[in-house]
Formats: sequence, C-alpha cells, structure tokens
Amino acid sequence: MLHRKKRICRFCESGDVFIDFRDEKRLVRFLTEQGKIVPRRTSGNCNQHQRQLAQALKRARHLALIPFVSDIPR
Amino acid sequence: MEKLYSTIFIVDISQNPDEVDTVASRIQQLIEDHGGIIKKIDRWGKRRLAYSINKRTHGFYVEIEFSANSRLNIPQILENEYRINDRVLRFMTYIIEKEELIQRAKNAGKLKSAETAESAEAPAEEKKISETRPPVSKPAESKENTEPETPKVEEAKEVEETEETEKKEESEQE
Repeated sequence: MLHRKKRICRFCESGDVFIDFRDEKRLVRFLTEQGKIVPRRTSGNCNQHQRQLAQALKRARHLALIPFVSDIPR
Repeated sequence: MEKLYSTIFIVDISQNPDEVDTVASRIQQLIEDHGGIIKKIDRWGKRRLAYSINKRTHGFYVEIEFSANSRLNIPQILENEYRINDRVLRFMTYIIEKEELIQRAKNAGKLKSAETAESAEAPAEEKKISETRPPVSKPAESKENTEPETPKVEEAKEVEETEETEKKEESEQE
C-alpha cells in the first residue's frame, strides 16, 4: 500500500509568500520522475501555495530550468 | 501605472561567447530608450539547459530588472527584439508582484541575521563576500563538467574495444 505522507504545507511552515522559480533544486521536489507536477493530495500543499507552485514550475519549464518530460520508460 | 518588470533571456554562446555582451547591451539600450529605468542586471552565467532548445544544450542566462510605466508597453518591444534576434534562445518578461518583493526582503532578513551571527566572529571583509550571490561559481562548474566528458567517453570506448578484442581472442583460442 502507498505510504501516507504528512499533510503539512511546507511553504506555510516556512512562511513563504512567493515561490521563486529560480531555485530549481527546491522545485524538483514537487515533480514526479517523469516531470509531472505532484498533486496536492500527495505533496500536502495548501491550495494557495499549490497554485503558486504550479505557476513557478511552469515558468521554470519555459526557461529550461526543469524538464517538461524526463525519464520516459521504454 | 509604474510597474516593476523582470526580463530573463537565454543567449546562445555556442559560436561566440561575446554575444552575451552585445545582446545584453542592446536590450538595456532598448529599455532605456523607451523610458524604462534599469534597476538590476544579474548574469546567472552559463548553464546546462534541462532540454535542448534549437539543438543547443547550454546557454547563458541574463536577467534584467527594470521599472517602467505600463503604458510604454516595453514587454512588447522587448518581445519583438527577442524574436528578431536569433542569438536569443528563450526569453521571458513578467511583472514582479509585491509578494515576490516581500519574499526577497524576508530572505534577505534571514541572510542578514545569519551574517550578523557570523560577523561577530569573522572580520568585515568576509561579510561582503558572503553577500554576493553564489551563481558566480556556476559557470566554472559547468565548464568543468563539460570538458572532462569527452575524454571519459573515449576511455569507455577504448575499454569496450579492448574487451571485445579479448573476447575475440578467447573465441579464436577455443
């Protein structure tokens, strides 16, 4: 069975108001192995931060900081 | 309305590394000519792209922050320039919201509190060094990464070849 992760928004914990798309190391944690955005039910982010995060991820993708797709299994 | 913008673009430096300066100065000139005020220029340096753009694997990132009246329509002017200029691989211009500024102030506050703790022990000169952002070291790292790659591949090939020859010899002996 899937391991249930703690449902605490990391961004709320650290008191972040804005998620910067420039530090891709932090963003990569919210991507699946294929490069998809991790859903809120798994990441545990709150609505507000999940939407900000999606915005940041999309900006980072456009600037080739993080991949659109990666590790496609053959 | 006066707004704060940020424009980031990736310059193709595969043919000529000096292109960065020409492109950056051209963009700066465009902004200033149309009534914008440049606040900050940040060179992220040469970086590996997460995916290839126009068959290029590396690019030089430059970020320019400027403030301008939204009626001047500077993002549109910049976009036209970026599209014409074939040295620019990718670009993005966006309005910096106040949340981002608040976040930056917070991060700066965190850094400062850490620095004050350090500066109590360390001399003042080191404080300045810690203030400058780390991306300066990034281009050097990427260069290091790119250069040794080719010899490694060659070595690997040689190893494979030797293994193959050995196998052949073994089979011949049999």
